[in-house]
Amino acid sequence: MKHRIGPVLSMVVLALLALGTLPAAQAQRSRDTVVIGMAQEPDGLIDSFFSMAAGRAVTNSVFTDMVGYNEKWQLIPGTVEKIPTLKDGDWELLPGGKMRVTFKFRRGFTWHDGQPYTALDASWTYLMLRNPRSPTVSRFIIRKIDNMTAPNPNTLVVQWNERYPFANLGHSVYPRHVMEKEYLRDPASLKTHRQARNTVGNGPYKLVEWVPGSHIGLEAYDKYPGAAARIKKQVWRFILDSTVLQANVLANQVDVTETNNFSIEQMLEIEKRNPQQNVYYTPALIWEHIDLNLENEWLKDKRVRQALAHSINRDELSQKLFYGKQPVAHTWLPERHEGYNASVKKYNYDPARARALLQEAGFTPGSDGVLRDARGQRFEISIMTTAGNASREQIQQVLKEQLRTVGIDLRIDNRPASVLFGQVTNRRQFPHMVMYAWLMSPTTLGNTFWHSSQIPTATNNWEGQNYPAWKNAESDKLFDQITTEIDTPKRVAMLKRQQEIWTDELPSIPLYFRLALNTANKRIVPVKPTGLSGTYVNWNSQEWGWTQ
Amino acid sequence: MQRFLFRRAVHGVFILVGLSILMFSLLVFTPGDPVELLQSSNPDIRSEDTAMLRKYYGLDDPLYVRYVKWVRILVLGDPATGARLGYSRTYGQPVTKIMGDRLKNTLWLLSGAFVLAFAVGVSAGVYSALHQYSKADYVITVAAFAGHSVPVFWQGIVFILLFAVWIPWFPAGGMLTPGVTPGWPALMDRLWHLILPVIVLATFNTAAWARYMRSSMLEVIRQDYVRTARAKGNAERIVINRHAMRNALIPIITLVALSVPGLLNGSVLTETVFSWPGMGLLLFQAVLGHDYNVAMAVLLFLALTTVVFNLLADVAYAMADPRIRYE
Amino acid sequence: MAQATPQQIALELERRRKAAAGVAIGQSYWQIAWRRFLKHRLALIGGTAAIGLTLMAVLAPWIAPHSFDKINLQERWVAPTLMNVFGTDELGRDVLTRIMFAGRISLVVGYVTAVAISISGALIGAAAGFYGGWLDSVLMRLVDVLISVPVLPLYLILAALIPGGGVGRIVLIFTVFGWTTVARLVRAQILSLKSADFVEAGRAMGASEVRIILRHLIPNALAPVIVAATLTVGNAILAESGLSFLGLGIQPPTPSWGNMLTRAQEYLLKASWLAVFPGLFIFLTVLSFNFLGDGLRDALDPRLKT
Repeated sequence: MKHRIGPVLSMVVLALLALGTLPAAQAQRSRDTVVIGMAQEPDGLIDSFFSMAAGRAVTNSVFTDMVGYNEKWQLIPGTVEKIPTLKDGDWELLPGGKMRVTFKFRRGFTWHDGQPYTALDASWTYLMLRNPRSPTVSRFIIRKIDNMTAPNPNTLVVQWNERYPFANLGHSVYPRHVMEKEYLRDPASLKTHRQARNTVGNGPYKLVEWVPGSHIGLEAYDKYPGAAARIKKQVWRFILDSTVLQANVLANQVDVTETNNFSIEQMLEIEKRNPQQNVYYTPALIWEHIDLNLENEWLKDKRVRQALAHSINRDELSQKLFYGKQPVAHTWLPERHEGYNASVKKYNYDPARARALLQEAGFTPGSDGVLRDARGQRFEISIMTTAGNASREQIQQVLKEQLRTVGIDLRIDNRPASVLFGQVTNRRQFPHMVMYAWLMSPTTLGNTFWHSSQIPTATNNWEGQNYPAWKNAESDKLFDQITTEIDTPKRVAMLKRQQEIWTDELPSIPLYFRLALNTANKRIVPVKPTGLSGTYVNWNSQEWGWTQ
Repeated sequence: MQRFLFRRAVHGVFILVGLSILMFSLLVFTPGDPVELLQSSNPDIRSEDTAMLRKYYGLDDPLYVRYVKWVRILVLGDPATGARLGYSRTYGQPVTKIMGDRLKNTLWLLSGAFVLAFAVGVSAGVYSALHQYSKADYVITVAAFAGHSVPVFWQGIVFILLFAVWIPWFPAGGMLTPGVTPGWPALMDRLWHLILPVIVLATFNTAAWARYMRSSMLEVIRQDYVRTARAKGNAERIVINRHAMRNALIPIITLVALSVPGLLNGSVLTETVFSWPGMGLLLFQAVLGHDYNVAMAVLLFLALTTVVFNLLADVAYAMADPRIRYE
Repeated sequence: MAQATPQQIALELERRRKAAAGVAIGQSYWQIAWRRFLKHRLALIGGTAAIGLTLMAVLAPWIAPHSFDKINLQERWVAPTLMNVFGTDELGRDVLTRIMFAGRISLVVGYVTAVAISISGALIGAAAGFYGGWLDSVLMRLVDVLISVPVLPLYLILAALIPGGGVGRIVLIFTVFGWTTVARLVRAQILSLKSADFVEAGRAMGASEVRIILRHLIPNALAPVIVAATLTVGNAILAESGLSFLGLGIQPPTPSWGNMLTRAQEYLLKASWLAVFPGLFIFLTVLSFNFLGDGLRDALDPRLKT
């Protein structure tokens, strides 16, 4: 139809015009901006009220904490002058299991609106977070503290009611002058406070704009004590699709990517195709494992659990599915944790040994190749994990085959994450096996995972994370001491002994420790990923600079 | 007509209320606990903390209490700030703001898809009808069938493969390029990002409207008044323009009105493939993340548009065909 | 003059009705329809393809070249070769084999949904049309409500609500919301046929209501139901693949054409064949059923021709 050609033609012309003007629309890359890519948009920038990793990443640039970690996992002072120690006397042990820790604040820190940042903000924050009506997500530390006072604007005194080994880590500090009015009117309203979006921080970068669905723009704060940030602008782009993010990295449109926005395959692809980008595979404190239900008639026998461990070829999994980059775990603590024990009992892939153990435990092979127990029941078990997680689903399918060769029939039964963590794990509704990961930190002691008082039951209101329901008297006794042992070598020795017991009893099957995956343009120096959840790749971003 | 409209409006309100109860109950019963999920990512949360959070969000109240509270927020606004439709638990922002942004993004997609489907579909259908049984007609018919049969998400993935990866003309998803200068370049950038998803979203309707237009046009051409017009000696073109097309278009309006809810509801697939931050994706995440205020607001909006456009379709149909009478 | 018996009247009326419908005397309705169908080229292609794909699915355990769930970690992401005509996936499984087995799932969903919707819709529609009155009003109100429901979002919620990852769950969800179209079609047919002469004659002969429904009304209403059922197969396959793609339909490791595409985008650079072939089969299957449905519509009732 001739008169229809008109509109169609004009659309084509418009399209060509669009393509033609494209070069002008491309971003201008300049030395004073670094673009950091994330696959999520943060929910809010008040760390105590929101839990998305994306938010904590941005707050790493906008806030300077009292104390932080560097890439060697050593504590470094942030807004305080020094880290309190027992030797120096600013960390005191008091009778009755109490402690007192004193922090001296550095001078010169200010909030981004110019108001001074002092110990009074810290003590106010404690009171605010502690209020049961505030939307605080975790009061774990707060419950151990009796009181926090600020005798003068540069001193903070923390009174502890128990001997917490990591009391020198500092505390959350929010700007009192920004939040107090709304807090006094209604603590519950703090979750929707403007501080979550128009955040006033004290860090090397201040928030200048947040365009929902697009990006957050930060600019170097000129009144930051010490060296101001070398790269003046930080732009955090939310690119929801990892393939698109990958394409942007390949085209150098994104300079740095925050932790764990890619799969290993995508990282390898970037490594191969774009020599201008560095890829970092940093061992992180994420323990991927399979919890076993020790109340099950078969799994309560230690030999069966050990046989399961021998039936899984974890080396092959690591080599084939993770290109050898994720170390196999033999215990529940990772290598870089203070309590790591390298010389625990290891369960290598040994199907013959597995069969022998199972035979000892009373299993006999059936006619279809599947084992039968003493009562003639088929050895059929199920494994549950988060639905939709590619690497976990792949592991499950490999496990199914590996266990079949030993005579165990594995059934796969997955749930969405909110169901898995909402009911299956913490109500112990998994019949045999559940696979997931614990995020740990250098301060993880493990008593909530393994102490017998931490088995969630209806009577204790489902408190605790000892999902396997493991009870061991010696391990319990060790943990009772570990949680209040301030002396590090003593504590480490006890942790190591606990792991010896643990690896013999094997209430869970350790799989491997996951990695923190980052990319960064080679010309940005120095980028030092830490591998700690909570400390993101931008922890030292004020030191970053473009080289030529 | 007014009585009819009034009755249908009342009808619609009943449907909306019933649907809201149904959907709220379904959402609440959906297994999975958003608060317990926090435990997996934060090693320091204890059960006392989750208990306090549950109390804070009212998650332990019985169903009817939660429903009534929600209705109150819907009508009167959030008790603390007066924000209509309440706050999103995930984002801590007013629902209207979040939904507004996402709806704008989805509307970009929908309007583009509409314009494209209408322009291409109608012209193809008319051409096909006028040249019935020709080769072009055959090709267009087969293409229309194909457009009906292709899964939207697969088409999106294949387009990305062909036009963004192998031949890198278009972006592989997203709405904007990082750091584009505002003004004319930003607009061009937006259009550039729109092209692939709009084509994908428009395909189904282009096919449907082409076929419908063809049949409608064929029916009209055979009718007497067209023959009369021809016999009167007017040029062929004028005959087609003035008489046939106008009459053939009328039932299309009905079809178009009925397509809007379908497009809105189905946008989640296109938005997922192209990472388009639109309303479909928002609903999907809100349902899985148990963000009840957002999910209910979006669901109600979708139900409302469905009811309204169904009504519009009926009205258009009644006005177009005087033989239809609604009692 | 001898009165014609009621039976003779009924037969005569039937004959006249058929003559009015342009059906040649002496040939049954179905024979005529079959002849018309054979002339429709696209429908033949579609029908043949549909039969072929169904056979492929049914015979999959015997004709598939490899195993659909055996993992081969040495051969992940192998590009298409003679050995693996469509390549292998992220666990080294042959894609062609998985497509064949996934076809079983998708086609079962399609067929069972079509049958379930046809039966439930026909029964409800027939009841509403035949009995009329309050039953009709109640059922049509129900239809109105169901039509106003935003479909895909509700599928999302229901899929998240009902646990499991199998075929039954999907078919149930589709049927609960899908019977309305068929019900309306059947009801319309019943309404228009209700007052037809042969029904009056049948009543005059004393035939019971059930007999009237079964012997006369339903066979005549069958034509649009057959067409709708055929098109439902395609629509159900499309809907199932969409839900499975989003992770809410058939759960892995059970292969479905939809869930084989869930992660295809991640591997576009590395293994683009994973994105192409499963979707191609969805497309071809749905296309075949659409051609077939269109041909059936033309053949069974040319008055409905578009």
